[in-house]
Amino acid sequence: MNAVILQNLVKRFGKKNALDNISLELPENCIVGLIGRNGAGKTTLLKTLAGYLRPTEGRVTVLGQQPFDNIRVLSDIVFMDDERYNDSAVLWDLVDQAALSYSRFDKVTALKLLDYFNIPVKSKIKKLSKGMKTLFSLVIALLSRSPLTMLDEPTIGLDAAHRKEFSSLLLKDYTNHPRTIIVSSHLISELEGLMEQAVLIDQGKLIFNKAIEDVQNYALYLSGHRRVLEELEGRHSIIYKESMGEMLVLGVVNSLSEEELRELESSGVEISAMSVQDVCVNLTATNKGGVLDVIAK
Amino acid sequence: MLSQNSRLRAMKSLLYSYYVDFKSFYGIYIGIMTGLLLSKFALSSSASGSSSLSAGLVSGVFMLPIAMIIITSNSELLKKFSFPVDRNMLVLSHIILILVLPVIMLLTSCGFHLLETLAAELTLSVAENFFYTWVITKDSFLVGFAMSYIIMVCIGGITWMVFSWFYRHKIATSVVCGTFLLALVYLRDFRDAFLKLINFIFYSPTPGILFLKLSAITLISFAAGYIPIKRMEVK
Repeated sequence: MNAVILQNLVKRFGKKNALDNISLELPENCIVGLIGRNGAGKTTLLKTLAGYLRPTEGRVTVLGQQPFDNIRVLSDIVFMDDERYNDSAVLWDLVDQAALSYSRFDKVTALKLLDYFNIPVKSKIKKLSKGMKTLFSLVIALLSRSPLTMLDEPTIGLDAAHRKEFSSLLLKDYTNHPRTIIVSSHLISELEGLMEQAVLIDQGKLIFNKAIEDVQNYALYLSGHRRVLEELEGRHSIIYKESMGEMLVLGVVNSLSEEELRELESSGVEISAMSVQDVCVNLTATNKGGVLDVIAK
Repeated sequence: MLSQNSRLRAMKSLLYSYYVDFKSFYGIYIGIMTGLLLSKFALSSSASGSSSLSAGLVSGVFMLPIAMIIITSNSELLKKFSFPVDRNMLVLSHIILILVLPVIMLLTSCGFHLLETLAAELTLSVAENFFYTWVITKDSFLVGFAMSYIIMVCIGGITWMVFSWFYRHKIATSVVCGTFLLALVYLRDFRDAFLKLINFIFYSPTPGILFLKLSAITLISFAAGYIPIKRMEVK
């Protein structure tokens, strides 16, 4: 069964399409990475799934039902966003409220984790640093064990050590309590080890929804003499191109046959896999050139 | 059954959060009441048996609308969505607050009234130039309590309704309210007609009829305030 089904989802704010005709299915018990540039529509998508926003067009189904204003679905969803708690709220009260709200909430472990992270439960939210607020929200979200757990930029404000611990915690908790977890983040390299499925959106449009292995094999970098590589341009889909004199670097969607690869290697072309981060960056690149071009002009 | 459980759990959680929020509100109310009564005893050589009750009503009439202005704001509603809640529950919890807070405030002022009576009796026994007037009977107390309650609820309900619309539709609500106020100030016929309507609504031969009329206005306010909250998105 799918945890999330979107059919031709459109969300419009005024004349702007924040989400533009998105259709996708996310399976149950899976960690999904939601990737996109700033303003791509990631948060709007998560808010729509969390029942905060009403779709302008299309259909949203979460855990078998539409989520907007539907408490049956909403009680099985947690949407982590550390800016949402009342600044004057005491942490202890929020932990109590989480225990009242979520039937699966593990209060004992939550308190242990807060103690481990040196987060004083008797203090108010406004007294916490940005990183501590994020950690607190993460603990509440993960320990709610909601069938659909959504984490919006969960590592913002965390130092490297805490980011590593967050990854370990998420994986361990997910292994013990499998559920659908959607993580949106800019730090694709850190997400890569966590996610099983990657959803890339750009300017409100779905670019792809693939298993992470498929994204890792999605494209190749070919680096070699311009004369050899320019022949490929008509035959294969190019997502990146950089010239350096007679040398050319191409990012090519990986549809090359074994024979073609062998030929390229024998012609002195260096072949390397394109990282997930580079795939996402190249697929969502604007046609404005790079930021250095702006400075150069 | 599952749905009932989810609903009940969410409602408990929402009411708990309002209980936590309103602890400080209640503290402010207690502070105002204490300050008023202490200053009265400290500065005046006389006291009335109804001063704490009057102070309770006046404080409530000012504080309840302020609380309604705060709880209907977008930022406050947004925070309530940190945990599972639907819009019907949100409205229901607000109505519960409008109905329950005046009871708590009035009962607190009754408690202050007992303290005030005790303090006055003690002062009378030791001070010769202290005057204390006792004007409350059992009947007047009960009628006063009921009328104070419904006045606070009605004002709270109307404020809640106006600001539920205002925060969701700022321009439209401002235009409507602004036009209404300007018409009230500059158009004599409109002002006279409005005052006649007010007189018609509030003229009542008995407190019971007035209670019913104010209850009806409160119910209409609840229904009208429900519409924008039911339709709102959490941005």
